[in-house]
Amino acid sequence: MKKLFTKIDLIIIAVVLTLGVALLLFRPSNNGKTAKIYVDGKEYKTISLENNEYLETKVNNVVIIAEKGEIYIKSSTCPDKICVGAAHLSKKGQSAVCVPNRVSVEILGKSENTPGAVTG
Amino acid sequence: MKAVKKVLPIFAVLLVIGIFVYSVASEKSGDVKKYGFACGSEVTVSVSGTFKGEEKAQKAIDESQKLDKLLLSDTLPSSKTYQLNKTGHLLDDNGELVSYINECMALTEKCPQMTILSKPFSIAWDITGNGRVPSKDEINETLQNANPNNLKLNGNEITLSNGALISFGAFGKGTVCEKAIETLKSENVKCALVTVGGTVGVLNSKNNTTLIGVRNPFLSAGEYFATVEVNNGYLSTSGDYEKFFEKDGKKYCHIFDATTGCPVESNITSVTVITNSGTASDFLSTAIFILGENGLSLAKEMNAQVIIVNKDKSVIASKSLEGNLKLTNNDFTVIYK
Amino acid sequence: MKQKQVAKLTVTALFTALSVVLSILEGFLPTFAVLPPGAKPGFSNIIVMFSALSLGAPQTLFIVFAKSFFAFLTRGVMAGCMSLAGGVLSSFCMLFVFRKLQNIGCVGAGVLSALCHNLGQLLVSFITVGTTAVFGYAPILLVVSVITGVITGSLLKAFLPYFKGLEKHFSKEMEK
Repeated sequence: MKKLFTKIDLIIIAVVLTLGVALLLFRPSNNGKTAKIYVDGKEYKTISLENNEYLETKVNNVVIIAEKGEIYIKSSTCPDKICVGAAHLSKKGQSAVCVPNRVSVEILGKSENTPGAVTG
Repeated sequence: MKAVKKVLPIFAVLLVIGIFVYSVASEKSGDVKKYGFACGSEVTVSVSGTFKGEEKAQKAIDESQKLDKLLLSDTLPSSKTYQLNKTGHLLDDNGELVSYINECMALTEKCPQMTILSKPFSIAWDITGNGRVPSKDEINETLQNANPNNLKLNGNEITLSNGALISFGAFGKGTVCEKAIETLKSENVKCALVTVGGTVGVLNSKNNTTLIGVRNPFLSAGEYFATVEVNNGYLSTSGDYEKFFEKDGKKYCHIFDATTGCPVESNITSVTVITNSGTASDFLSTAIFILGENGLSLAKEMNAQVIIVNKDKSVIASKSLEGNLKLTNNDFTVIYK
Repeated sequence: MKQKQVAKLTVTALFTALSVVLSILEGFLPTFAVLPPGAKPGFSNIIVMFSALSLGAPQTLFIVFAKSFFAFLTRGVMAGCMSLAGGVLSSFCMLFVFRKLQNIGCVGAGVLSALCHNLGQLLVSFITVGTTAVFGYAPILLVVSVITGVITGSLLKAFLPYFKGLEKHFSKEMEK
């Protein structure tokens, strides 16, 4: 009959636990290089800005461009175009929204000195 | 049972490690953030370190959307307000619209230049379209529409006459924001951040604060010129830099003076109010935009803090904000009153 | 010979049913915010482990496929795929381990089984969602695998005599 707990088991557990804890503590936290696009309140696409590649996304009549480590709304069919006039996003927590077309773009991450939200 | 005896100590150690790891992971995994739309704006609900955070945040989103959709909106047919405007008459079964109207009117009593019967103004000036300047006669008609006597409350029966139309545009975002925060509180959430467009709701436990940025009205959304630390409360902003139109070289904003029927003209470009009621913060930001510096006493009376930004980048802020408000942009100067 | 095969078949069928029941019961457990949606203790892994240990490869895979099919029927394509990936990976791992690493204990086997199961599910998530964001769950899953593995491994050890007895019982019944 099999044993309950042997030396090999101990090795296995030790290795797995160490790996897990190590990965957790030394995980590179969001360095402002990942952006998410939300449509109708739900996650639509995640884009990495790290490689500065040019990427065009079109959804709900909104065109979003990612390039040179930034992401921004290039064009939209909404009447006010507030979203198109917004600044290019490059820092953690920054976002741009097109309310009529229900599309929003946000750069993930939070740093100590960045406000949780901006009024306005 | 021998097996159990051998495993128990190992399991106990693992449990301790597990709990430690879980707490580290909760912190590092960051906020749970959910999105929605209400009151013509994007709604975001961020919840920190809570068991079942995703579900709770989603519930807050759902409740705020529901409030807008069924009660407050004057553009969605499912809303009681819309139906009331359409037929001029409503039997408010559970009295929620009646009590909300009363709540808003108690606020507008403090500032006669504001009214919930403001929709005729928006229509006459075509604020949702390209904007137009109505004739004197048209303006007078809107003033008659907005006469407070046109609204009658009789128990649960609401009646509108003489072309009166209700819009909660100057109150709604604050109310919806508060609804989201209250929903989270009822789910035992201790730390959260809600935004409804530019209105921000902050929830924190006793000694914690959240850093909030104050919008720079001269730059695009998300850009701030100063920060404040908020423990619990709501921040609403009214300004002339988002919804406006220009005609013949003149700029018209979307905030109306109910006594003149025309958009407000002043040196102010934005007013931000911080207080512990969502509806009141939204109301006050608009009221003080209209009243200007004279509104500071009203704010004090209502236990609110104010930040007024003028078109020349000079800023007037409540004395109680001194030490908390920190400028991050040197173009602005602050005087505390 | 034939009686042993029939006994094996009977036990396999029994375990398939048991595995499905355990899946249903696990479905009632609440999910934790930090874990990826769908992460569960994996009690049905006990069945997979015993099957890999005593019944053999075909039986083990049959139980896994049946369990996944049931998950597909009741909880949809995603659940079915995750169960399949996790189960298959776990089975191969167990079959390999019990042949080559003879002196592994039940707890170690439990941990490996849980690890493989979670890894399989993570891979399916990755393929479906298409972004590497899901691997953010990897560290916590590693730790959770250890905890659940210890539990299921211990339970396996506790029930081993009963499981073995089942096979013998059916063999004996046939002989009568």
